[in-house]
Amino acid sequence: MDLVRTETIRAKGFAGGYQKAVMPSGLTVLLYPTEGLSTAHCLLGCKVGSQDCAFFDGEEEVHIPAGVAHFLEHKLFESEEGDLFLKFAKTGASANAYTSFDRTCYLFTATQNVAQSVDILLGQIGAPYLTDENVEKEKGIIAQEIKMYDDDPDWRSTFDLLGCLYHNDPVKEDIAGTVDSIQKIDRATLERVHRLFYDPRNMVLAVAGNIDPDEVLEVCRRRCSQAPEGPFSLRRERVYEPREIVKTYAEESLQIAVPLVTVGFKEAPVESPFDRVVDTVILELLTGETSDFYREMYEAGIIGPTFGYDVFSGDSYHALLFSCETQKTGEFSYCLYAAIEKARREGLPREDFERIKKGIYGRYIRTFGRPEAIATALVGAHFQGCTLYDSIDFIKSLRFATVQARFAEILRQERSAVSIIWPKKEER
Amino acid sequence: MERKTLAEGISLTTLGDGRYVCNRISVNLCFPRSEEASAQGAMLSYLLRRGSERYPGFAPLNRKLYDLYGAYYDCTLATLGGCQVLSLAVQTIDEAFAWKREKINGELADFLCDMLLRPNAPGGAFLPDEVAVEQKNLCEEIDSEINNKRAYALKRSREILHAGTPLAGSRLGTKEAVLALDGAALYRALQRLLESAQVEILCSGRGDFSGAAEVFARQLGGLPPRPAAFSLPPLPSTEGPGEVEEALSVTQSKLVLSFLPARRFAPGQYGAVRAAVALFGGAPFSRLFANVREKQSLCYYCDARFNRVTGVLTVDCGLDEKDVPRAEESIRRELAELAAGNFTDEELQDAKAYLKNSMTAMEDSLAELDPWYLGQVLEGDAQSPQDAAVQIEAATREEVMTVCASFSQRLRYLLKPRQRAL
Repeated sequence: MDLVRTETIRAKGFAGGYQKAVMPSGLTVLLYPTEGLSTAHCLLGCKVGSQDCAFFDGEEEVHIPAGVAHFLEHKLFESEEGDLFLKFAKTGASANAYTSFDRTCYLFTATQNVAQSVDILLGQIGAPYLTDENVEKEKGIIAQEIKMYDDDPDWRSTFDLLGCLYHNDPVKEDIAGTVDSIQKIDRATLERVHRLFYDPRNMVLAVAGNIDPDEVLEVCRRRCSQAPEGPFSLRRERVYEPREIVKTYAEESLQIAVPLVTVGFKEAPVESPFDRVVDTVILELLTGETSDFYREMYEAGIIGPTFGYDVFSGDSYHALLFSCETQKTGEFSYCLYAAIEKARREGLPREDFERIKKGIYGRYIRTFGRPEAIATALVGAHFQGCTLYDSIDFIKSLRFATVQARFAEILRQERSAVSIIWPKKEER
Repeated sequence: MERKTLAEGISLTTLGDGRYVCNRISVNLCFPRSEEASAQGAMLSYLLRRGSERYPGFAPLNRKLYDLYGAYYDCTLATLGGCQVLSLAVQTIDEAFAWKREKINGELADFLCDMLLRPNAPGGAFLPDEVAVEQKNLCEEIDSEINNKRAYALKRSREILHAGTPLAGSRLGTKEAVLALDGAALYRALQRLLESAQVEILCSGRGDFSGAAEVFARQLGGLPPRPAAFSLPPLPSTEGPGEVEEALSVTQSKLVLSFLPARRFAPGQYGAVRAAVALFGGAPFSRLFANVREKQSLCYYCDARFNRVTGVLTVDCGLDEKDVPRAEESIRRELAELAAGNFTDEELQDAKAYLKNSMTAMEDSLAELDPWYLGQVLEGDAQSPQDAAVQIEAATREEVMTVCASFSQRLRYLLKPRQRAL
């Protein structure tokens, strides 16, 4: 008897669809074949990230050093026979991995031998090869990665800002940890995190592009036939995070030419993933290139081509960020706050609402042209508890009144902070 | 791929394929590199990305882009050896995916012609206020090249290596050259480019580009004939400093080693060159990755790349200053090992498989295909990524050894942390 549960998920508006299967092990598999494309992209996502630094192992409350999820990502590329890159080299796949605040993803792009590469990936990630020696060796590599980011003004500015916004949430810590924190990571910690978090029920495999779904599913059946013992009972320790911010300002100096300013608004974690879409619309209406704000600030030389905004969001955090390289750091934050208050008094510009919806819809559709983007979106949607097409349906039916109601709740100055990276003065 | 000459020096290349959900069109103007031309080209890229006579400013321009389903539009300036390329590109979804199946494919060519041929420059001059703002922005971008330390170290290395030639100049020109420009001078510079630059138009994607071809033939076909602008520059001189060290307030040192071949590789050797570089340091299982990063734990990245146009092989890594001698020694040793043939057939086959995968994957991405074919047509070639994959597969170990043996180190550049004063 086939114990694999499968269903097909289809879009309402246009042709296409993808298959969702849940393996006996609990692994969710999402398969999106495309016609005509040469490549396939595979993403194996595990819901463990830099935020997961406190949890329960049975009844024991465990606190781990910053950077463990990222460290484990590095180590899962290694096996007794050599590293994963070498194994993929045999199938011609090009592999990589990354860790974010709330997930770790292992990926490859291939134009042939896709099922074979999926087999390698599932085998490798399920069986870590950890020794005291190879854990120690990795510390040198990761320390250099951390130091590389220490010289990166955008990275520093973001984390300085998050330090202003968040009291306790681990989102304020660098994903890779610090040079000091990684020294405290040992084999036992990595093994424990792997045992607890790398449970197939906490993972999803998405494969999109030039694939034979049956072939990939067959590999998954073989690799994931074992039903888990007992229920999945991972308990993360949820930290208490007040609505208030920590402080309104942070600054530091780096060897850069023009000051970099980031303004962030701390919002309540979203209840619906579609709130993120609404926030994107709000930010485009307020500060996008059709807005008065953008035109006036650009003409006044307060912002330039480096201006950008971001809906920075995860399960436990949600913030709206605006950043720009500018000599006029004070004017930038002042004018941003003023533009928000003006929109509160006079309303958001309704005349651009429909075309911004159209623009965001077009960007979603562009996703379907690239297997990498499809697989990434599949994993993102799965972790958000929705399907790939839900955001498209949502944006098409979004009403201006919904946007106005949401705007009334967000972007409060009293919950905002500013971080500035100043150019370092010449040392004498 | 279809190629059509609209006028001497003005060509249109189309790549239609139903696999794509988007269409992309780029108009590329290629012209010789100089400090003045770089500053002009950079300023024009800033001005042409913000509007035209028909879309005079950010709001009208971006409303149009939203109406084209969030179309991507940009105007950029790139370097290609001794030339620069001013590119205007637009990309959006095919009309098959439009909400009401409205006709948008045909609008892309018109849109680009508007942006290029009818700028927002009443009376033959760009608006003084817009020029002043973009001069400020461009000067800040020039200053900010120091922000990304890895890119900065590579840039400094190029400047030293190509000193005394146009290739040493900044892609964006100097601040002095930028500030010397005004709206009328920039308008004249644009007209000169339209009269003399080699123009390559690339249309790729799902759509039928016959309408676009007609638009371009009508609007650009009447421009005066001009010669091809692109040619391969000579290899850098073997004279000049072999070692340069500079210090900045940074946490991590950046080491850049530049190697030159004894003579320019022939196009028939490109397959072997690609395989050699992948084997050496262009893949995540290469010698540099496996040894300098994984075995010795000296760095997070240690990569090799070869620039076919300049002929330079570059290796760069970020590491602690104390580890620089060990890394250098390893890098040189690995290249020597490959030159001596100390690699297995399996390693070579892995490198080839990796490259072939990359080449095939490129054909799925319009944003990658566009610069690939631009490079090809400028060099007078029409090799597809699949052709390149076949060439890579045919490379022999002896050819790979010959390529590796051909390189000798020309420059060692080190960007290191500034010592703190006591």
